[in-house]
Amino acid sequence: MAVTVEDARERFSPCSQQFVRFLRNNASIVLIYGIILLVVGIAAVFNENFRSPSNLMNIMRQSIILGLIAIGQSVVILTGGMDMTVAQVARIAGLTVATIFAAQQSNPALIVPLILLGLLIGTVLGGLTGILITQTHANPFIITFGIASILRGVNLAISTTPIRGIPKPYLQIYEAKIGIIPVNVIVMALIWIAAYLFTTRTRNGRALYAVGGSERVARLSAVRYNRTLILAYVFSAFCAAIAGLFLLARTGVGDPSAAEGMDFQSIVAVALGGISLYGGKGSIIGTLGGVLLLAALSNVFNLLQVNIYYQQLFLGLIVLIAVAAYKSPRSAA
Amino acid sequence: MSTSSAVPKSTSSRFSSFRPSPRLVRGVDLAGQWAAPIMIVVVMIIAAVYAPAFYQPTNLKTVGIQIAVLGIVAVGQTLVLLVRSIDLSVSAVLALGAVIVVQTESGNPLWISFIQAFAVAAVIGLANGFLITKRQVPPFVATFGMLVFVQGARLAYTKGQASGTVPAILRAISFEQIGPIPAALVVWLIVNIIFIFILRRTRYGRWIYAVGGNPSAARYAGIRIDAVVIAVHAICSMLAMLGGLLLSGYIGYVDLRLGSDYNLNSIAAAIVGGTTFTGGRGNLFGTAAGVALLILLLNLVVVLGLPIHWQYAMQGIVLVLAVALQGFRQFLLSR
Amino acid sequence: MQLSHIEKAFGGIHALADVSFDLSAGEIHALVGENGAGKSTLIKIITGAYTPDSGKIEIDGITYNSLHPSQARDLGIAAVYQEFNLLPELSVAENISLGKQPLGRNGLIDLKSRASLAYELLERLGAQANIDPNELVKYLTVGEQQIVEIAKALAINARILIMDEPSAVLPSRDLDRLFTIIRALRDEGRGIIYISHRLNEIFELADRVTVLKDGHTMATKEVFETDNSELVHLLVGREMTDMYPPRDNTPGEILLDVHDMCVDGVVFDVNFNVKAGEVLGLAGLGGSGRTTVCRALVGLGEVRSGEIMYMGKPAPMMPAAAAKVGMVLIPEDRKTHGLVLNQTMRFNLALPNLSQFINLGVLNISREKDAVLKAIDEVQINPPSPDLSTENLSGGNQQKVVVGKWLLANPKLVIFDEPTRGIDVGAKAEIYLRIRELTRQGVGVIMASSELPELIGMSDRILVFHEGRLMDEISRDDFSEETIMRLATGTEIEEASA
Repeated sequence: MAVTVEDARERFSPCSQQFVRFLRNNASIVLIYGIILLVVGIAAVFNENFRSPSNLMNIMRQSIILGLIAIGQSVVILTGGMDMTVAQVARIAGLTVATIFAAQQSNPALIVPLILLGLLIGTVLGGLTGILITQTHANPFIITFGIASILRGVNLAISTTPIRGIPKPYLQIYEAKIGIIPVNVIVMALIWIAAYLFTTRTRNGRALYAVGGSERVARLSAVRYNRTLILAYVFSAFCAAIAGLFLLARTGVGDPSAAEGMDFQSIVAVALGGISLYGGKGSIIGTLGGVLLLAALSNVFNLLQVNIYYQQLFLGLIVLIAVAAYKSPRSAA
Repeated sequence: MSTSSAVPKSTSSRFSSFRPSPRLVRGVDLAGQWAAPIMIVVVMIIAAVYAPAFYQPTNLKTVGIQIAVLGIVAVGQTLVLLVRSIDLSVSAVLALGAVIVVQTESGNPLWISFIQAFAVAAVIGLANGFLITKRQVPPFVATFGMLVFVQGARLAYTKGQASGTVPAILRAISFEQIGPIPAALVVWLIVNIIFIFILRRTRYGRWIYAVGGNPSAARYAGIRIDAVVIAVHAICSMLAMLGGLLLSGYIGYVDLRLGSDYNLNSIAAAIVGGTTFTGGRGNLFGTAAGVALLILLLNLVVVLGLPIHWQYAMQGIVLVLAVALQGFRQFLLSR
Repeated sequence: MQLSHIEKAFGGIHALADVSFDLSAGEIHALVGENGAGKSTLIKIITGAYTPDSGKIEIDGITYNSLHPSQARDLGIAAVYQEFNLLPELSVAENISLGKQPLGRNGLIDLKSRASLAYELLERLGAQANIDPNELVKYLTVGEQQIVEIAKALAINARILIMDEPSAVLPSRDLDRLFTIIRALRDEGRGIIYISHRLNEIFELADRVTVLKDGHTMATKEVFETDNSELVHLLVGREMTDMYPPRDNTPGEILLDVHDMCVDGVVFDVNFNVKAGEVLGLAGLGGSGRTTVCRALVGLGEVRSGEIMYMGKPAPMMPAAAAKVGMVLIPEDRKTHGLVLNQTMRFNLALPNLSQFINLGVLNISREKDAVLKAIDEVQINPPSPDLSTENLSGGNQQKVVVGKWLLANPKLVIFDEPTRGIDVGAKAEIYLRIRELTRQGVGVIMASSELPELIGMSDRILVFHEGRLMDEISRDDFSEETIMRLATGTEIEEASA
């Protein structure tokens, strides 16, 4: 990030030089937003439905769920790990809340306690994952893969059919607007700002980079390694739980197949945004770009009425290209 | 034996003065090696007491066929794990196989579509290997990307419709028996024998263990590491294809969600059988035991009349336990 | 600070046996010793990475049996290693205050004071003009990164600063600046432990010098009381043993001829040849290009230019192909490059020779077993059980497995890189016997080593490398540790130019 520092600044960097450095250090972010501009620009020129304000707002709204999950995923990937449980955590939070609503005759008084319960579930699950990873020293990808499978079973045990009976006021969470701007987009923006500040301006946030950059250096520099890792997984699951609660408000039913495929999409968004899958490098701003790009693309596809299956193929193609263009840490060094 | 102790490998181990006793290390080691066979016996005894229906011939036959399919995929996965890689695209390849063979019966002779199927699988495996070795993409990312791509391609091709008829020969392999043994199980046995032979009695097998055990030493010994890894991925994909063909013969039609559990289960089976993520350790006997254990447990869920989704929880628990045990063992060894 | 009677052993080998060392505030105390003398082990004990087996550490009058890394940090002990502990993807300022970043009133990291702290520290090191606190570390030169490391040590207010061969990674023009910084730090009252191979640096910089050898303190001297030759003598002077079997070979015709070989920025314009039945020693300090030359000969490493002829033909620049024509490298560091540790002796011994046992694509296990047993017998591995896992073998036996696996390939030219590092005396002697026997059979041997007695005892000719260049070839009659050391440390040129 370009940072303002009093006297040092003038001494080293005339403005142009600062700009060059900004470009160099943030090449992947510049690239992803460039691509977004390109996609949005082309779509706006050729399709008038696309450029309508309500559609643009739609893209924002469509990116909320993935966006939330991707924030958490970014934090975990920055530590050099990966969280395959996010979709299941989102699902379990939503399903639990929906089940209790249904059992309590959609009592609106339960909204706040149940939201808190949903968030608690996420936090606890994230904590368990984090502790399991730090204590067993197992490969995070595989262990979260296994936990995801367990949670999938639990979710199906909660319900195999959609659960109705969500109180109306809860649905308002998703629908409310201030002017034309949906409240949830505002909430979303606030969360992103908070996440940005967390990863750039707090000790715990910076510890993520140290842990992902090198375990040895992190430990030698008095960064608390295990605590940072656990925190990352807690954060990720917490974000996923929020996403699950939002999703419940959007669809209005507790869906046992909610958030399907979000684990992978969130990883794709993170990777597109330039965070290194080896950890320690990248910015959450890039992830936002990755999320917006995926949302814009899917919006364009829908407007063009592209078969959902071709959309999948295209997503796969993007992923493969991104992967093939991958730069290893060794060749980068 | 008793003199073998934890050799201090100074990397990353200097942060705490915890030193495990050799006995603990050996205990964890043995537990890792013998967990699967012992658990199989235990599970079978439990089944005899609580779920005698398990021993009905029809159920045993189902178990046999499931073992065959997963077992063949897990052989490939084991080879891949042995060279410090992983393959998450097996489930997509498995499903693709059924589509290619079942849906291209527009006048082509059957053997051509078989060749097509295996050629496609080989290309997918080569691409995986290429991404991993030449582009140095982390294996799970590369193969996960391949998974999405192949799935997308399959869905784009079928438009999401399940259709077509399964060729008679595949049905025969899945339903005929050779003596008392399902034909599919015989295929599994043959595959195992071939690859056990390759691992133990050919140069290629030695290279696999060397590349996984210590890539640098392998390079100094004149082994072309990249070639070995790429070839292993190609083999893994082709075995997944074989598994897919058997599975479609068994199911009888092409299911859209066909094979989606095979990623997790093939990895779990190999790990339960003692193969490590860190490469160079493990064998196909262990994997076979892991496969049998996993299928037994999954089948018991059904036989005991539990809801089918407890299978997900079951396979997850098995994987987490196995990985945790292994991570712990690795951790002890690095002390 | 005072260390007394420190001992530390790894798997039966004493890395440190009774080492004492002291450091007072405001002094630069140099620590010298050959590879394996125990310098790095000593540092790790001071920084708390290792726990000593016995001995005391006394700091500010308080005695400790051992230190924890965090304890050492709190006491103001910091080390600058050759391998930097920096995160390349983060900025200079952040690296300097990593672990304890300054917080502003709003609870967020105060970027301004972080940058000005960095700026201030860099200014104290006289580097404020060259290093921008906001630059990412990966864009700095090695010299600049080193200064950032020092700044990082100052940030935790280090009173004891350990510098592990800081000059080894620096281009010489950065060296003067480093010295200025180190002197300034001393004048601020900090104690500095300075480790180096280069003796002339010690005379330029240090106040006192301690010589470590084979895990013992040889001597601690005031620098003005000693001189170059005394130090060289202390460094190398050990009682000559009759470990080295007598020479009974007659060099034959030229096996390998190397012309103007350059390897990717590390080795320049090297010319030499190896004759059948002779031992060619390669001497030089760590990083002088010794190992690079060895690796390049069998095709590991990028040879930029030059001509390498093997038995009259261009050498095959691939390890497998080289082995096929009888040219093998026995690498240094058996654990990383030599052995597949989790596999058996049989597996490892057979690995490069599998083609010998192949029959129609199938390994002939009994033929393999015979060959392996023969190799075990030949290099005298004890116990001779081929199915033992190599991770359970002693260092000496492991090294014998590495040697044995390449001897099975019936080589005509064997390149040994550090053949005896970290193994016990008995195993060493056996390896020397093996080398002699090879030369008797007309095999050419290249032996790169950092142990001078071994080179002198075994070689017919010795090539000395310094900073990637071949300094000179010494013939048998002129062998002496002093001569080699002078060439290898570059003392000769500096004296000549002075």
